[in-house]
Amino acid sequence: MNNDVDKATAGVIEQAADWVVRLHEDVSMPTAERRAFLAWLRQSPVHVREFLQAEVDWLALEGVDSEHGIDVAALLADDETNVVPLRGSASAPSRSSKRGYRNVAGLAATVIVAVAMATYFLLDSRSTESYVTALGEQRSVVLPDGSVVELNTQSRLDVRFDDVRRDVDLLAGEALFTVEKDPSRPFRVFSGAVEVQAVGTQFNVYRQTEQTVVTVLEGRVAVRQHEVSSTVPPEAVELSVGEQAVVQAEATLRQVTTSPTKAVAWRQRRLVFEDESLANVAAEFNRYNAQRIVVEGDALRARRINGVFNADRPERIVQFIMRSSDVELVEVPGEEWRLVGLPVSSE
Amino acid sequence: MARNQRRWLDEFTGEPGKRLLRYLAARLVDAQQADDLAQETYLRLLRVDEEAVIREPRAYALRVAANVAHEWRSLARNRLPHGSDALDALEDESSPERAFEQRERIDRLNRALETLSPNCRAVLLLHRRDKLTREQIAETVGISVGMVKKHLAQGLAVCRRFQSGRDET
Repeated sequence: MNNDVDKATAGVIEQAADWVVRLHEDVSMPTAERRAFLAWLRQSPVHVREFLQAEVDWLALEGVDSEHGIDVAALLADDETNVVPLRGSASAPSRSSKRGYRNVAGLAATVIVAVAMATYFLLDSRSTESYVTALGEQRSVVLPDGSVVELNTQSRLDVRFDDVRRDVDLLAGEALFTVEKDPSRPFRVFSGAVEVQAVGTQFNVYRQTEQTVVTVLEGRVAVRQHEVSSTVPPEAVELSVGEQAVVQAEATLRQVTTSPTKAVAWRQRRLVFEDESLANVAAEFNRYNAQRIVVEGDALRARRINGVFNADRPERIVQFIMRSSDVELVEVPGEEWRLVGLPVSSE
Repeated sequence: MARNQRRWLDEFTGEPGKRLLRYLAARLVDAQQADDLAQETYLRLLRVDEEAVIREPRAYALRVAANVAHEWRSLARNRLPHGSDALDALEDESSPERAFEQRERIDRLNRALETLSPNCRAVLLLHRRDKLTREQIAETVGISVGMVKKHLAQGLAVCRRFQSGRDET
């Protein structure tokens, strides 16, 4: 039951409540205090979440005991005779109250709460938590240490945290990591044999069939390629902002400079292509949409594409390609667009 | 887009009112959604110039959160597969689901209140239910205004903690 996650949020709930009560005073807050409040919000997404929840509950509290069943005078008299010590920590009541909640909420809710709590506690006992996105789905996840992962379409992530390490397995797809600083626990992302290590930074990892692409948006990361046969620890390549490493299975690590905004354009569901082959462009669109783009003919597959496209509108790129006269289109609605390159007589 | 957004925000001008908070409340029911919303709000708060928002940081933070929620809903409308009736149902602010969620929240708060010490519960009820000012409460109960604030913050924290078991996933 004892776990660090609980301890980490423990203070935050109290702090958020304290801020909300202070923010709702009739007299306006001194500038220094407002500054302190903004600084507190900017510390972590968890702070923001608890502030929002506390604000919403503060308003909802107007609706409690609407039938005025509770006699305040009696409560106060009760307190004088019984001398109830003020609770410094809310841990004891919260445990009993959780039980109370389960009783009322019924079996289904009990199961949900139990599963949620089980996974929540298991995280700290070195077990694995998995996150999956479906075709076209994107989601962001706050990890127990406050780090944030944004998952792109058709991705799968296993998270294993304990006292000495924060390991993440990118089993498929693409993810953008915003890592909380914690010098005592390195944050490592594995994409097959590729290892990416960071301390307080932001980087994107895209696991493709043939290669893994790592892009740094903030701070520095170290990229290593582990070989199955070798027992010698591989040398790390350090990447800083705007740098990208392309790691292929049987080749050396390639380091290039790139535009970070391009690498994470997927967050806005934009696809940015610079001199990309149509085959790759089709594959990118197919990561997001059920109706697939199939390209046939070597010359057409190799055709170069430049431009920015909306990931959710594959029909646009199909129309764009169909502007040239040497392509034939066969559409099976809901399934595919088949683009066939016609043999060119002379060019 | 930018103009629409401004017009939409205009509905909440002045002190961020109850309407904005109710709008947010609906986006905070689901733990995953709440985390996502907080995350994006957090990132935007990092980007903003401190001096520009320091006059009303609370109002600003709430507006940003509402703004994010609103943008995502517009995005979702364009993003989901065709014929998603579920989404349309979700859009309706005054739907029975919204009313149900609000009742659920108040029910949980009612249960949370029972776990408070009598004094703390009394102060919270006098302030939120009966709308007494902090000074009036201090006089009624015979404690200092500082103590009233302490009870309020503690009461709210216990209410939050009571629900955090279901918030965390």
